[in-house]
Amino acid sequence: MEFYLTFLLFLIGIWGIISKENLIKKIIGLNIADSAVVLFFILIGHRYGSTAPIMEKGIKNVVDPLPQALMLTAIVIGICLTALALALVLKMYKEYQTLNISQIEKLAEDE
Amino acid sequence: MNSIPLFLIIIPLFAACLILLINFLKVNLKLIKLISLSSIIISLIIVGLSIIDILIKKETLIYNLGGWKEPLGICLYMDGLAWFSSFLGIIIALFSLIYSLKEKNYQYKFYFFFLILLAGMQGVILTNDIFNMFVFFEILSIASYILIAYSQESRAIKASFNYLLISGLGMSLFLLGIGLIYQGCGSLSLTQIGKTFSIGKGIPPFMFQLTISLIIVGIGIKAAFIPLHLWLPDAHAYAPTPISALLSGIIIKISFLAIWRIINIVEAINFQYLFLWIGSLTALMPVIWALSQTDIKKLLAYHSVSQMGFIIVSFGAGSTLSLTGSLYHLLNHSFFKSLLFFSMGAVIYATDIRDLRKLSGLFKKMPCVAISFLIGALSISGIPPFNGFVSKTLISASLKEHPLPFIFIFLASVGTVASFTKLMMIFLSKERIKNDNSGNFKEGEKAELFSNKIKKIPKTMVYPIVILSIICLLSGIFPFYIIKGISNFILLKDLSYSIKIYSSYNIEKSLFTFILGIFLYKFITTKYGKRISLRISQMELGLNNSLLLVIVSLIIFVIFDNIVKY
Repeated sequence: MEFYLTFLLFLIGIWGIISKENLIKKIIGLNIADSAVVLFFILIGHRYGSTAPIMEKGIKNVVDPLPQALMLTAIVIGICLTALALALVLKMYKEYQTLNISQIEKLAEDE
Repeated sequence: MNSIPLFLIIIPLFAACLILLINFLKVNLKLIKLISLSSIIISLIIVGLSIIDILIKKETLIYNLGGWKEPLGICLYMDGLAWFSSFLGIIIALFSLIYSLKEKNYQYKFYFFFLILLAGMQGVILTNDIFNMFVFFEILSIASYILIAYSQESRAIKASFNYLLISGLGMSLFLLGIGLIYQGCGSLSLTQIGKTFSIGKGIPPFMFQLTISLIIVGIGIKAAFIPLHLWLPDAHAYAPTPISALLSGIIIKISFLAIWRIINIVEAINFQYLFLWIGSLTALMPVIWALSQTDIKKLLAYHSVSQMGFIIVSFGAGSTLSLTGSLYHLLNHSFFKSLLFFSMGAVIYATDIRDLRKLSGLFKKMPCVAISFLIGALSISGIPPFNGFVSKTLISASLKEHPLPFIFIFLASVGTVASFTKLMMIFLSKERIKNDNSGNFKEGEKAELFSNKIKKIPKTMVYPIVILSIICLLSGIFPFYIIKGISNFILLKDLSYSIKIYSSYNIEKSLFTFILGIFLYKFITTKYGKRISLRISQMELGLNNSLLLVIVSLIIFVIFDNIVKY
């Protein structure tokens, strides 16, 4: 069930990237798709009834720590990407005075 | 010796950090240039040292990061293929850096991101862990987004943003594929994946197909095959010239070699058949667009996609001969495409004009660049005795069993000749040509424009151009050592099939291509041809469509296997 919900989230993200005209919304879509992938990785490592992988005495049933470690890296990369994308959008807004991608493409063609 | 792969990644990264630190001391820019140049030269020496171990002893250099061995830790691998691409990457980076030394706009940030790009590139080549490959791909791509937008012109920023969004979508697909692999076999090391991740070992066929498709499409966006290439012409055209050369010369090929490695490791042979068709379409389609371009760098960028098609189609054919041809063409294309970008960059530097209709009669003004460009243009068109001829001959010889891709490749070669004749005219045509209906300027205006405005090209720009053109000539005249070297030392297979490169049949064929190409060029310059090419150049798909095409091509990759069966 969780896997299907995650997949649905991923599809929502992709729909946002493709169909939204607003550049900021496209970036939000990219972030949603990224988060869905992060959730998917966490779900792979997860088992019901297990605890966090902090190895102390008496703790036996732990989740797989590797996907979580990987996802820390992926989240950091996602933040870099989002920051750069927003900076580029800011530059484009100053240039074209709009965030609508079709209008921007039309303006760029006229140049 | 085993730590060579580590040093290749660490040295550019370290130099990049050093540049940032030094910048706080407000020192001269010369020191920064010296650091970046020396770091690349040190990497080149290190790669040169490893030639004994890898190519002659045929060993694989393995370095375990942090001392953790294979299934648990991250390993760096350096085999023949990795050595080849790493060496090529460093050489092209060296030429690009030398080319950019005298350009005044490039501040410390340029050199910083340049070295980060180099480090990411080496990482992608050398790592043996698929998640680590993802991280290095992201390092490489973030550096390249910034470098593409470096000039801060509006179209460069738009191109960079388009690339970012398409490639960001692709990278999340790639990450999803990594997740599915981890779920399937519980390991991220490529060796381990090769052992356990296959249909025969309990992975459902659909899952296998989906996972490999996600990974191929994710990386394939950077390798720019059809229909994932739509970001490339803008991004490569509006980037600074040394970066265009680096992106076209090596980054797209690194991405393709990553696909190559993954397909080889999981033995997904059925994908190779798809690549045969994708490759032949990729060779043909962009040429049509290239013919209608008026921006000189954009024309070259379309040809980058087209030449990638040549590489991909011969990868798809799958025999030892065709794989050798593919790698040889990859090598040649990095040399002549960076040569072409450098010389067009020199033209833009000298005249500040990018429109080929406004440029003419440059041969007298810059003979050195013109002759080198001529060599590059003859190489890319496959005219003997330059290197493009050799690799195109190998590719068409290996496509004998596949008639339709063979025809596509032939047509693509004809188109290449035509569009490079068109580009060559900026050097060869007389300065004062009759004003046709293409430009908005009066007769005589052109000549005035040039005699006043032309800038002197610095020597650091001319040297890489001349050296690259000499390499193009030499590797065309003495092809046998390189063919033998690629097949024996990199592919580790003996090329039993003997082939005569300079046979009369091959030379006649290339002459035939050349003549057809000239005719095609004549046709384009007629009134009717101009109308067609104007119509074609207006047919550019926007960002939304190119994002949609990513998903469409993913679906094609997933289901094509079933289509082929029925």
